[in-house]
Amino acid sequence: MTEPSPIRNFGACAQPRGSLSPEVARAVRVDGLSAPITVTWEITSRCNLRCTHCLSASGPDVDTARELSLDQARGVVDQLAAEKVFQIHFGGGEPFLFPGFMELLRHAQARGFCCLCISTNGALLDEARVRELDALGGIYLQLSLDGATEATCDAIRGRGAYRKVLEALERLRSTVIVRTLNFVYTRANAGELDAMAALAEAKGATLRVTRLKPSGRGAERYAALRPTQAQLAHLHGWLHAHPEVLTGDSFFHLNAFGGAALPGFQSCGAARLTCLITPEGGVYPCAFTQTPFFQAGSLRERSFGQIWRESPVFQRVFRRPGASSGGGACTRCEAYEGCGGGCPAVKHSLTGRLDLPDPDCVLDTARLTPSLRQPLCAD
Amino acid sequence: MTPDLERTYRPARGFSCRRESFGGILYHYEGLRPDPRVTFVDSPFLVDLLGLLSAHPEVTPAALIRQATTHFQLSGGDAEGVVQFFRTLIQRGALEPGDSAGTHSAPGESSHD
Repeated sequence: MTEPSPIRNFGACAQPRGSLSPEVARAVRVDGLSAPITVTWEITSRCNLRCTHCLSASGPDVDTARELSLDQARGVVDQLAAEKVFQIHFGGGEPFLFPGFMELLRHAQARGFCCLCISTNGALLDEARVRELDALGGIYLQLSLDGATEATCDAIRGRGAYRKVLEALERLRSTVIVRTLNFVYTRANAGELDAMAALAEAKGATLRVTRLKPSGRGAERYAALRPTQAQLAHLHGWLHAHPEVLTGDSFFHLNAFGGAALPGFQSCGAARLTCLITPEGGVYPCAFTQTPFFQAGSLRERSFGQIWRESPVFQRVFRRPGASSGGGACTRCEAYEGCGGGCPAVKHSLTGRLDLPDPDCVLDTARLTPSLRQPLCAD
Repeated sequence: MTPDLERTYRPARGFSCRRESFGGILYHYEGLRPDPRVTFVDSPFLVDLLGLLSAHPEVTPAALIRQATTHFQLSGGDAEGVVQFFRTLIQRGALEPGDSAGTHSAPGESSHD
């Protein structure tokens, strides 16, 4: 009998793009990694803008009384470092409105985090702050811009938002700070993909396109802003033609259109590769699942490691889903392997269930067999 | 150019490795593009060797590979797999040259130099 070789695949999967071996795929999707690769942390709900589609319903007048203090936030950073989380992605709200945010960044760097990603509206990136961030090093800024024109962008993000981002981009020009322009694809701006790509290139940024989801104020505006079927079909082709554009795990549902899978991670990364921490210390699978149904735990009560490894929500809904969760009725569809049954957050927000067909399915659901339109039996 | 495994290397800033049940995850943020390079390594053995090399920056990859080959009685193909693993990491900039030529003995092995 021969011993199994200790040297197997050295699979290169940037972001991860390549195919995973069965053992790795099982570890990622079913068993769960020992810790996330990236943790998204909405550090505050306070924001100087009030975007109509904000996924966390942030704004200038939100109640921040129960948000974590700087000391508590330092403690969370220590926990993430101890768990060997590779990267923190700060969002909000506007992260630069969190009292002591720059100090928190320095603390995270001291704990070994070499890349600190910050989603910002750019309005607070004045000369002094840009210089400070540049000196810190390892900063990756995601600047939100929801239109290639002032009219389109400001209709969603508020008056002056477009101009502030462009000014910030000019200040960033002479720095080594890596930056993307984050563009939420909606019915209102769907015609501006090419213009956004050109704008990003002209400003020294990479374009990152993400999906509008019915979360926060986005839920209220979803019917009006969700892209049409024709717009989604156009986006599918456009993303294939622009593999350099980043998408995170936003568009795996478009794989139901068929053909080769899109570039990027083509599966839901929630509770597998990533999770979310709220300003109050709540832990959820992702930024779009901030409802009681999806709450995995609170850092005020349990450690991050305990929640990541033991949360029933993470285990039963995302890693080992039963018939009433997971892909549900979608598992009977031939497109399921490509789209994974769509986004659980979207499904649950729109239907209150996970076993129904994906309401945002890009296929012509009217033509699907009646059985696909029915839920599976409950567990 | 083929990397020289007879000299010392250390993990680059922005590179880290985490052991997992299937092997491990390599994370490398180069600071030049938005997304880090995330690599899933399907071999606990390779990840452990990388951990050893990181913990002993005075040891050359070649010395480590020689000792691993002897100790674990690796086949020629497997030893070549380890060589390729380290070469790839060096070529990607995840391991960068250390300060000295290094020792030619691995941890726990007496030097013959």
